[in-house]
Amino acid sequence: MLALAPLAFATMGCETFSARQAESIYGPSEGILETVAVLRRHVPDDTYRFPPATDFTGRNVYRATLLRLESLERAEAPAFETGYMDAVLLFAKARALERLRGYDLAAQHYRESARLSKDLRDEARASATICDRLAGAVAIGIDLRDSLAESSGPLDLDATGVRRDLDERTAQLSLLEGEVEGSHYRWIAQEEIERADRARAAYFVATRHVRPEGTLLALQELQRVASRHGASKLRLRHLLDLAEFYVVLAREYVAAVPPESLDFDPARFTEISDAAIRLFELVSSHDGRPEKLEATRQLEAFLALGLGIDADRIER
Amino acid sequence: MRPLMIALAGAAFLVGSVGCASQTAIVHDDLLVPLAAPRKWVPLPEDFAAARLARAALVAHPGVDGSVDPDVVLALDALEATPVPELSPRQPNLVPLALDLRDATLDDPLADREGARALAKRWDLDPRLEARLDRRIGNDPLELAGRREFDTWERLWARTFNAVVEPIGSSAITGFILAPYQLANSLIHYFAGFSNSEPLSFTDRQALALRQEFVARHPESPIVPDVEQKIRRAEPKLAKTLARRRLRASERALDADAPGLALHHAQAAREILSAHPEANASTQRDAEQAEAAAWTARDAERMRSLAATEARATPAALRESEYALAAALLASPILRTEPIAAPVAAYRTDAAKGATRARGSGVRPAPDAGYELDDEALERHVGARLAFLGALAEHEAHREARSRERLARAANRDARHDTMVRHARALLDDDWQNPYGAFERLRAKARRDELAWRLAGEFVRRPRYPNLPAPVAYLIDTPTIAMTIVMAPLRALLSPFTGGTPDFRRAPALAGYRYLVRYPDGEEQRAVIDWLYAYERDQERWGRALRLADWIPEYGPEERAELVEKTTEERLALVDDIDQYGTRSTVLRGVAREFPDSEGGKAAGLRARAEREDASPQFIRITRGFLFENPEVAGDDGVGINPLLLNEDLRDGELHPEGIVLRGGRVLEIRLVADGEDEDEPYASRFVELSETRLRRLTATLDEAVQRNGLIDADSRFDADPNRDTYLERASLGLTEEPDLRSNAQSSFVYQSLRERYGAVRGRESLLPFDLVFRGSLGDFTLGAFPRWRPPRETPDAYLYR
Repeated sequence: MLALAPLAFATMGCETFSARQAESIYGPSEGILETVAVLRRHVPDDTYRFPPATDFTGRNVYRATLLRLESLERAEAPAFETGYMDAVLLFAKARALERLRGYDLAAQHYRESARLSKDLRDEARASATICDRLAGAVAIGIDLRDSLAESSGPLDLDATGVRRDLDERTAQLSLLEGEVEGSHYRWIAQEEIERADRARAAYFVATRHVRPEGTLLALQELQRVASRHGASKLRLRHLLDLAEFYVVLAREYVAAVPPESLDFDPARFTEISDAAIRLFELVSSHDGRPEKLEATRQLEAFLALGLGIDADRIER
Repeated sequence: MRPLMIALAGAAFLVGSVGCASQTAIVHDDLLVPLAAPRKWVPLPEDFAAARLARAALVAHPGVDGSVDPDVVLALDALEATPVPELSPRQPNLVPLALDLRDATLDDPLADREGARALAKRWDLDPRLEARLDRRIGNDPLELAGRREFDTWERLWARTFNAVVEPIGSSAITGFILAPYQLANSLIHYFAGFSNSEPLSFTDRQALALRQEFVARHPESPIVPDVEQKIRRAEPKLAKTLARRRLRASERALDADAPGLALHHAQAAREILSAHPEANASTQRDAEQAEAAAWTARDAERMRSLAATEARATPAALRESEYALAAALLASPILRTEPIAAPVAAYRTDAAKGATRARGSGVRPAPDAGYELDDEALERHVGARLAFLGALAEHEAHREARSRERLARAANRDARHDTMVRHARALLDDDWQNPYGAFERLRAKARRDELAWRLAGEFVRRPRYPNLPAPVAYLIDTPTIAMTIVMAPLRALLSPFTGGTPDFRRAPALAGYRYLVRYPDGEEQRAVIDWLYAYERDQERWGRALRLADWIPEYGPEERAELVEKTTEERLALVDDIDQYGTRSTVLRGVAREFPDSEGGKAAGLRARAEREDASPQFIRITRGFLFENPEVAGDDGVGINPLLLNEDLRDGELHPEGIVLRGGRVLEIRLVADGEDEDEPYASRFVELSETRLRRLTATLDEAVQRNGLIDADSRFDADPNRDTYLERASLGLTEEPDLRSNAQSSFVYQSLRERYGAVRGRESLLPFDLVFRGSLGDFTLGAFPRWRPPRETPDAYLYR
């Protein structure tokens, strides 16, 4: 008996999968508390400097929360149709939506939750106002383009107007950033300012061939993004964007002035390629970031470009 | 129009599919039970208390001292004090979940983690919450950093342990007579192995990155100074690691005669080290020396390059005739005898005259004087040019072999005396200008490499310790190399069964194909094709062998038919690994079109047709095992399958183990055990169109079950599948009227039960830190048993730290 005792004690901790499943079936309120806890934990996260958290499946935690709330609503429809959790559901969804750039939807959800709950009213109204301002600001000017979208028309060639609009957007967001100091909206505003700067750089990159000094301007804009957002989680991405632009320039130069032609200027090519190589090497030295792999492979690909060029035309 | 077309297509598909299904022994008509009326659910006081707590938590602000918001505390107290009716303990986990929610409002990950540790000590936690708490506790960057450092030490311990125990255990068969020798050998390798180690291992690099992240996230934490001290200790080691890699790359570049690249790496090494000028003195010296060596090599290369491209003036005696010959050559786009016969004759005459004059004058000018050569030099000069010209003429007359011979003769002269030699050599050595020469050269090299590999195995490429001086590295490996050579015949005998022979003939094959492209009617075409055909057959690349066989006129029709069948089999085998219907269909149709007369082509055509008939926008399958394991998905809250189909009684109809399939839109295929058959036989399909409500319930319960299972058991997590998730998300929102008909939007994901995925007993990692190994080797005739310490498993993101 004594010999069997440790075995019995040890097996006490071993539950079958179905037993654990049975213990883990949550009721509607339990499901909401669990989901709200996951979301609430990440509301104050600085998503400008650090990548957004992920759930156990590796999904963005805000998106996962939104999907889970929707799923709970359907799975526990009889319970939630009584309305006792409506304000919580709406407010939680709004908190998730504002991190997914759904500002107008978030504002609607906030207003609805403010109508339903006294406890949430002040915070929900304030958040709705901020979301409205964010939605208003991001609607100004152009955005990063989805070239595959059916609705994407030609780019506006009025650079002054584009720059003015984006400056206006940035000004509004900067003003908001100052006002919401201490809350998570600061990070959201910073992310939007960064996005506006990226959209501006992308615009000048896309239109560089139709304006004088267009390439130089595009380069300056990319450098501006990299220098203005050195603290961002996307800082390595900005450096990669810059390096990729240098690669594009190098390829364009080789295509336009073949290395075997008389006009090829090795010094000019070296100037461009050195910049690209240095940036790729800088990014690839950052441990633990996916951009490291991207930079390493892109550097290899770029160096392979040199293999097809006569040895006396470039420094290998 | 578009929705109408889609609706018509869907209806046609449904009708067609139902028509194809065979009859079954289902004795009842209702495959799905009618949707139950929503059950009444009345919130209890505990639910209202939970709602109040959730509201308070969502707007909570922690106190300046880091305390919990008072409203949260009040709401939590109220929930804990809420009386729960004894007969309805509906939600037993509310209080632990509420405590977790309270911790979430602290807005401080460190305090939150402490809260999780405290909460994890409770005995009444459900497995789902336990898993979340474990995950949060485990996500402590400083603990993870410590764990990664421990991994470094554990790896070292595992190496040490195995270095001692393995040779002793392996010498058991010899009665431990060989133990002293084997132990000594193992220890030598153990110490030599340190030459391959880096100053900062990848696990230490992980620890460094984790600590840097902690400091960035919590700059105000009181433990930051301690953490920064550790970072300061590790950073110079990281610089040394990266700089050493650069120095090794620089050495390799120098060996490969690429001084520019060597210089780049050496300079990069110095730049890396410059961030810590007070550390890594010896590596800094190495970097300086490497840079100096690279500069020297680069200067030498430039000098060589200048010397190689040195131009020499035409001898004065030949100036006119050589100019005339050059003009005649340029004027004649194709080298023919008549136009250049006269200039060649004049060239020879001038050479003879020049030689006579030189002999008559008695003056012997220096060979590099350029314009005035002695008779021997003049003959060489003229001979080299005419030999080159002859080779060109043969080449343009499509006599490749003779052209190569003449070119080889022209190249076999002393390059110091004549500039034409280097042109001849360049033509001979260029893989594109002389593809057959490259083919022969690489074929000979492949034979040599294979022979060397068969004799000395992997040692022929490099020793195991490349960072040690080469003689020392080879000396350490001498016993193993000797044993490898002695055992070469045995290895050769076993190699067909063990596999792993590198493909040495790949490079000559490439050169062979290049020759066929460059000279489609070349003199060596047949020899190259025969060689390539034999190579591709050996490699069992039947498609390529078939293409080559079509170039062989006397190839037998039976043999060709056999090759065609093998080619179709090869391509059809690929189809099974393709998930997307569109891609699969393209391959199948391609095979059917290309080989219509073969059995494989017919099979491909039939399969393509069957797949087309069975095509649907989605193919998301839920097996019967999964439905048994997660009854809520099968039951009233989910899809609502008639329970009679799941009672394991074949007499009243039964769901086939294949289960049910979501076929896109709201179409559900129910796979049943066919009439009079058992579960091992093919299923019979029934198609039903689900109502929006039922589909929503199904997706919701499915999502809930997958979430819950994934939390309580890591093995039950499913791989990500974007198309599956997109379809389920759209279905849950009721957006199913317009099925996405793009083939690349299709998912063929299968939800399986744990038993279906892992079998009756899941493989678990042993509790012991080592494996018991019984090893016998025919390679060195050893037999033994020993424990082998398992090194710690790498984290999934380890590849980002190498």
